[in-house]
Amino acid sequence: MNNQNSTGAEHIAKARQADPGNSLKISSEWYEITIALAMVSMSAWFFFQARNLRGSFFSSVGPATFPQAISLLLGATSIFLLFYSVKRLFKNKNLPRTCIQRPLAIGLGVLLFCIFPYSMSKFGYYITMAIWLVPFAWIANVRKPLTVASLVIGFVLFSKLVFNMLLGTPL
Amino acid sequence: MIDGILSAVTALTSIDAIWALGLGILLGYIVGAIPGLTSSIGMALLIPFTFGMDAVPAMVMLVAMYMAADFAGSIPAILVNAPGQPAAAVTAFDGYPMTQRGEAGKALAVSVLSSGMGALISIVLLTFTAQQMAGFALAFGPTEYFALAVLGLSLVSVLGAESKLKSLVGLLFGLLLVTIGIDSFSGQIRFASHVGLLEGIPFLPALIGLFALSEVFYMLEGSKTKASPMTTIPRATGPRGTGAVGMLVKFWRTLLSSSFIGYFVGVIPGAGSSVASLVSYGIAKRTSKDPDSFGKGNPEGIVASEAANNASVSGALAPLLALGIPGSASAAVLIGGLAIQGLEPGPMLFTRNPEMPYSIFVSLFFGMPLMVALGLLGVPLWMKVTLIPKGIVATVVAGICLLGSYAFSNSIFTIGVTVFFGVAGYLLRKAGIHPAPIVLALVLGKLLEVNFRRAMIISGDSWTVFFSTPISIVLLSTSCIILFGPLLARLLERKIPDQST
Repeated sequence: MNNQNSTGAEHIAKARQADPGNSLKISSEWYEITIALAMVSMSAWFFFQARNLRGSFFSSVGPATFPQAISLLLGATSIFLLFYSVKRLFKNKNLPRTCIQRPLAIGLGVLLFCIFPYSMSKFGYYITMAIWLVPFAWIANVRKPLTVASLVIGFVLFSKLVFNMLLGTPL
Repeated sequence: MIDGILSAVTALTSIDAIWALGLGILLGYIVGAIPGLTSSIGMALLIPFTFGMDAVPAMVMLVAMYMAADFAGSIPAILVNAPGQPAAAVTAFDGYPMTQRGEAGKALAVSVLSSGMGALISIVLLTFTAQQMAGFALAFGPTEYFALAVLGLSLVSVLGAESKLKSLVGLLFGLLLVTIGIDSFSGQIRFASHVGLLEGIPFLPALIGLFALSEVFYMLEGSKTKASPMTTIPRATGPRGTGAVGMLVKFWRTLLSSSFIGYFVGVIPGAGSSVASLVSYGIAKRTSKDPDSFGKGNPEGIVASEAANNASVSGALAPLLALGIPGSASAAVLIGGLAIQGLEPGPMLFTRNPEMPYSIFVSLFFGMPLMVALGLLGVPLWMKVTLIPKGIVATVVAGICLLGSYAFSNSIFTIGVTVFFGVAGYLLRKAGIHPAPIVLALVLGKLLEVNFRRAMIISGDSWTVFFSTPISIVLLSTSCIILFGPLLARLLERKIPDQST
């Protein structure tokens, strides 16, 4: 057996330690509290918006019933989640942490994905994708110019060949 | 059934269908071999490419990929203890120790052959049971469908990996999103602030976002590391061929029982291959003559895990095709594939388009030898695939996500939907809320509401309608037991020690 290959478990552990400084660590409890509060807000919004819907002529169960029922259930379960997270927050001293590795890369990635649709409306699919792939590959640590160029050209040609020519779906 | 099989064989003799089968298997192996990419991600990304295809080749390609990805996931699991698919983690328990002993070739051969046999047995079960299920479901009315959807959703929430509460939150989040769009009964617009949402949240772009794009963010996190821990390709040393076949003959009982376990666990919505392989492994260990050897390189462990996890693929297809209820997140993705072809899964599929389900059964049956051959002969190739840097995989997958969501309807709005769900999926996964319950809720939510309201209208607003037929009573009672049983058990446990003191 080739001893140069590490096991999967060791690899995962090494990956986590690879760049310990370049990570954003938040207490898991605070993160869950944030998510729970977002869910409670969302369920409240749906509940109150549903009140604007007119009832049904055929039944007491109208278009508002299901959304209101589900939003109440979501609100209740989110409050449970909030409660348990707050309880853990006050109970434990050594709390686990939610870790986001390379937060700047993740933030830039989100930004690039948000920019893509706006660029498409101005420049069309092919130009946008050709330009967009370059910074994305960069933040994905693909740094060799030849590799990036091959990726861009290959992907754009692939899109043209498969969708336009083979499937007849214009982009 | 014979007519269905004959029409399927006719449909599959076209060059398109044969190409689709081969391509699906090849792509499935590539997706399955790369850690981080799962069959559901692969299928979600492949669906947009089926737009211009005929229905039979499109579905054959998707299903072939689904099955082949589970075959391939065990290869890196055995060689370097890094499963390519979550279900293959159980295979690594015994597969990796066998590799460490110099029996990698035997472990791989046992794995591939067990997968093949498990899949073959389950395809036969699928062919016979799906038609029966569909026939049974023809008698279903709105109350039965509502009760079935409640059962499916309750199973999904309970079988959540990390936390049942978090699975429930994800499920309810998905159910709430399903209410967006024009109400099919009154025609009123519900919560749709954009014209693109009038028909509800576009399912395929949401699927691509939740599964594939959220995974891209995880890949960006770890893009400084390679996809695989290997620096060189290990040789699949050790006896193959007759040694492996001998193992299968020796453990024929485990092979048979694991295939059945995998199939029936796969039928349960939300269970999936991981649960199937864990359950089967646990049972095989308990009933083995040498249970202590499990986890130390016993080939029987590989047989149990691989037969079950591949049998569960067919199991998940049974309720999907017969009832329209997906047995797993990957099966839920197939609903998107069927929808693009204008097909609705359920009992009517067997009467209106019988060539579709039977084409799936027959293609899996004939594709099995090809999958086994590729698995046995192509190990060095699949291992090379795992050496592709994560950054390149992330870039390609990101591009395909954007391409696929745009191609869905040539609309920029759908790209926005994919991005929204990708970011939401990533943030929710960080909180331990997995996308699978959300996707299953997006699938079952409409079924739930529409049938609930239909039943109420038919019954004149009488809630007793849901307890008027034996089927709905059984299904709803089972759902209550599943949802509240564990809670009641815990309360009773606390009460009994208190009473004894």
